[in-house]
Amino acid sequence: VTQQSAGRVLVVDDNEQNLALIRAQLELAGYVVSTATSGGAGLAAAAADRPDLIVLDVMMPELDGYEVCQRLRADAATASTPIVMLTALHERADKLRALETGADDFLSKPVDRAELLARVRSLVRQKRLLATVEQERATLDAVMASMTDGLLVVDADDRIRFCNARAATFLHLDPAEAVGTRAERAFERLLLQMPGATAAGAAWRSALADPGARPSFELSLTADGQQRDVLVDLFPFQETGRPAPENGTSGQGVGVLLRDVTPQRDLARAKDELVAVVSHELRTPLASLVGFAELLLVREFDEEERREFLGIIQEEGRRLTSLVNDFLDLQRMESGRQTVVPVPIELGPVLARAVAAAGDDPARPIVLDRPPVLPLVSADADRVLQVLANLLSNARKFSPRGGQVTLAARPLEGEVEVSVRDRGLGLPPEAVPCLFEKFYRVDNSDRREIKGTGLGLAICRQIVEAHGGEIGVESEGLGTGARFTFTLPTASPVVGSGDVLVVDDDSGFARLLEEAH
Amino acid sequence: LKKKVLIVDDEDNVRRLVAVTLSGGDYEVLQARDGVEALAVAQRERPVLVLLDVSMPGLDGIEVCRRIKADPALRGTTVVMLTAQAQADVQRRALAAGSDTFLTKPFSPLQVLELVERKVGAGP
Repeated sequence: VTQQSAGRVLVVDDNEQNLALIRAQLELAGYVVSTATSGGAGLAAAAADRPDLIVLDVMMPELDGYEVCQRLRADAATASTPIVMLTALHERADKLRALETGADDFLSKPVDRAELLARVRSLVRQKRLLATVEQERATLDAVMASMTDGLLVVDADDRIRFCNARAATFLHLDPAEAVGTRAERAFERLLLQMPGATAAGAAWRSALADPGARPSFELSLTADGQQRDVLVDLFPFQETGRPAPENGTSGQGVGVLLRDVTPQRDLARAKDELVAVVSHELRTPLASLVGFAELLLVREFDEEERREFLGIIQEEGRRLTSLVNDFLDLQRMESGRQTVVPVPIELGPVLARAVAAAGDDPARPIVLDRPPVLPLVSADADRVLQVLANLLSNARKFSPRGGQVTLAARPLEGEVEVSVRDRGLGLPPEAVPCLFEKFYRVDNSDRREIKGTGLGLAICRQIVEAHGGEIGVESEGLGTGARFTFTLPTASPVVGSGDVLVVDDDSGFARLLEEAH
Repeated sequence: LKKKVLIVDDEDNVRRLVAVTLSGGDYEVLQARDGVEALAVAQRERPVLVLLDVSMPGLDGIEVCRRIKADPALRGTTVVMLTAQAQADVQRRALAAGSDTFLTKPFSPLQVLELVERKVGAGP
């Protein structure tokens, strides 16, 4: 069992006898001792060994103790290493000079054993305390530098005491220069480049005036060239070592936490927008529904008008129903409550069923284009049918002057691509990236008569993505038609022993078989 | 001479509703389905009152209202905004654009009739 050493000490002395004596005394007390017999050798040993303490003789040829001491202090590695100088007895000038060149203490020759050990022990303890504090500080710095929140610490005199990297980014400060400067001035400068500066300035000043109330406010700041919503929280702290509060000053510093809440605000904004759109989409059919019902109740109309208005009520009622259905469908999928249940299926029968379900429309015939053999896909047939029904109905709706619709499928690497091609109105380029967004409508006079909930394609995207596939659209522009494509992953071709492959175009039955199995 | 009232909405059924509501009264009901058409009809026909939907594709109701109110030839034309958005923000924008009042969808046809009679009846 090795006992932990009391410390590592470097002794530098040109007198070998003296050196041996000090070494023996220190080693007996439990120190690990290294030695050097000249100033030059001492500097080299100090750099290499990083001792906890250096005992340094003043009187040495060539490089004397004062010179060595100065050089040790100039080197960052040894700048804070305790140094005890060995001086001649009663030489007051030597002792003063030792302290002036950076020594922490001195011992007079001949060295008294008890005094040597007492001074060394005290200085090593101080050195270790300092090392602990420095390590704590370094850890704290590392933590604060890694924080996603900005942290600014302002003392009771309004001087910036600390500013981590994130806070510096938010407040446009140079962290190295900011420390020690007036916080108010830094903030005034920041205000100059901020929108809504007056309100922000008022919030900042009233918050600083009463940090005890733990004020919290939001600022719109630019960080790394981007506009960010930043939540600012202030909290007071009592500065340690500060005299009790006296006239004017509270003796309290203020901590400022800056949190980037842009993602949360974006989400809230998107939610508000959605609520507004949904409210609009619900109120529009309600206007006709409620309005005509009221007219029918309070006025007399002939049979023809009566039937017309009832027809409108029914039509708008259906529109509301599909809107609510589509919206709930989408919500269930987005929240993950409704999931697809993919099983290996043959796509061919699903495509054929989709065409049959779309019904006849002589002006807009649907042509099925598929190779005789397609790999099995891993899909939920009912959900795929829903996507196909949507895309086929859109293809026809947006072909007001008629035109052929082609439903095609082709195998790709690890997936099957299904496409629906029409020769209808087509899409302006700016619509392509937004087309699968909720309630997005192409704003062009050629399609104002075409109705829909604005949710069909958003639902299609959810379903396809839940399968692990991708959905997309291409169009060469207005009047050229559009081609919607989506992919479905092929079913794993390896079927282990004991596995049963269920192939049935009726997915309900397929699922039943699977569960029975 | 019948008083001209213009209803502007991209929804066919809403235009029909307003037309039926005002029929039988002392009004000639004009219709427009978007902002551009609304301005053209307003400038040509000089209606005494315009019922104007806010959200329409292309030129929206707020902008149409602003242009009607800025047109000296249409001074005295009352604009009633129809909104399917209950948000106070939309109502604020409608008033800022110079609209005289607004109605939120769904609205009562009888109230529309009463409102039109009150606004138009007061005029010459």
